[in-house]
Amino acid sequence: MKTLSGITLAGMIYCLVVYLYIQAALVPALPEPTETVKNLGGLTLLFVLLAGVYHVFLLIHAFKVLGDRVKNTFIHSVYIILIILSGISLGSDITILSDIGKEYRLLDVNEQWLILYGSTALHIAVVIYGTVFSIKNRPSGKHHLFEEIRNGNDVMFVSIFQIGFICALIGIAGVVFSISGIMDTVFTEKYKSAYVLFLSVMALLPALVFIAYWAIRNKNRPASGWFDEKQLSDTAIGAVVALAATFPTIVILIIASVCIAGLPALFWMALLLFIQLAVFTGSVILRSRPGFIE
Amino acid sequence: MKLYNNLRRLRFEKNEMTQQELADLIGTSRMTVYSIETGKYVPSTVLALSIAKVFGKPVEEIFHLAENDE
Repeated sequence: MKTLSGITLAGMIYCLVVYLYIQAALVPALPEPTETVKNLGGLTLLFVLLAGVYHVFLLIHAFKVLGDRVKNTFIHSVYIILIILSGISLGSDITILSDIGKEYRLLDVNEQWLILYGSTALHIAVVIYGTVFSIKNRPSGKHHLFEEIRNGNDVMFVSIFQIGFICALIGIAGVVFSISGIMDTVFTEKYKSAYVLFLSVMALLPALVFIAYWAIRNKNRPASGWFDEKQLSDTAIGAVVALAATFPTIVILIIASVCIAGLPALFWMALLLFIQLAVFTGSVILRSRPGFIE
Repeated sequence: MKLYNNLRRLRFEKNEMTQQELADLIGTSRMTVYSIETGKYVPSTVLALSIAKVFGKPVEEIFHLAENDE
């Protein structure tokens, strides 16, 4: 594990250095990428694949220590989300690099480079934090990755809603920030919607992955037994709060849609979804806090 | 209407049973036991009966309403 983490970290730093070199080398005057650029770029692919494998290890470890070694579930929830987002964006790194290779002669690719650097910084941060965390918090061996969950497991319950809440905030931020991208470009309606859809799916993926993991650990239990009665009550009240918030939220969004014309309907739909998710998960987290008094 | 309980005392009298041990016996989470014990959550009849069964006592010996509410 330590060897893999060392190679992965070295690989990510190599990728960063290579990206800096390629960005300087690829100028519109260059008709074709040189052999050196192609070879250096090809090697980054190998390290990106290796980083993908290491991300899977980190995610398995993060799940294994959940409820066993974790003291602060909120930080751990953020960590799980970052592993998943960083892992997914490893795939988009390859696509972006390939796009830059095709488009640098004719188009401005500075934005793509920025995304690539941001993504690589995220990978490096995840690899460093993950390595330190996994060394400090070895799984006790008492629990298996997919062992059946204890009745109404507190940590899993709180983690699900924390992950859902953080994903909702990421979704709101992503969708709102996408306005600048949408407004500044001459995309057709179809591409504008696809852009918002892509950001929304990215924001929701960590929550979906964790729900799938939770479902697997509950596979031998009827759905009615996934929560205990207080958790079910907290969840039901959270749902009622979210339902009550729907009407004012829709009114505000309708007014906003009149004021800001030209945005796809999917933008407003995604915004409503993430706001509702934030209200729902936030209410449940608030109610399930130990100090909460009815 | 406030519901009081003797859960904490009963747990300690029963070999210093932890909240998690009680939670496992009644099939619920530790946080729920904590919330019941501190009066922040009123358990259902089924859960109250399950708790009473663990301690071998009638429900009214474990849970009771505040004097001025009765």
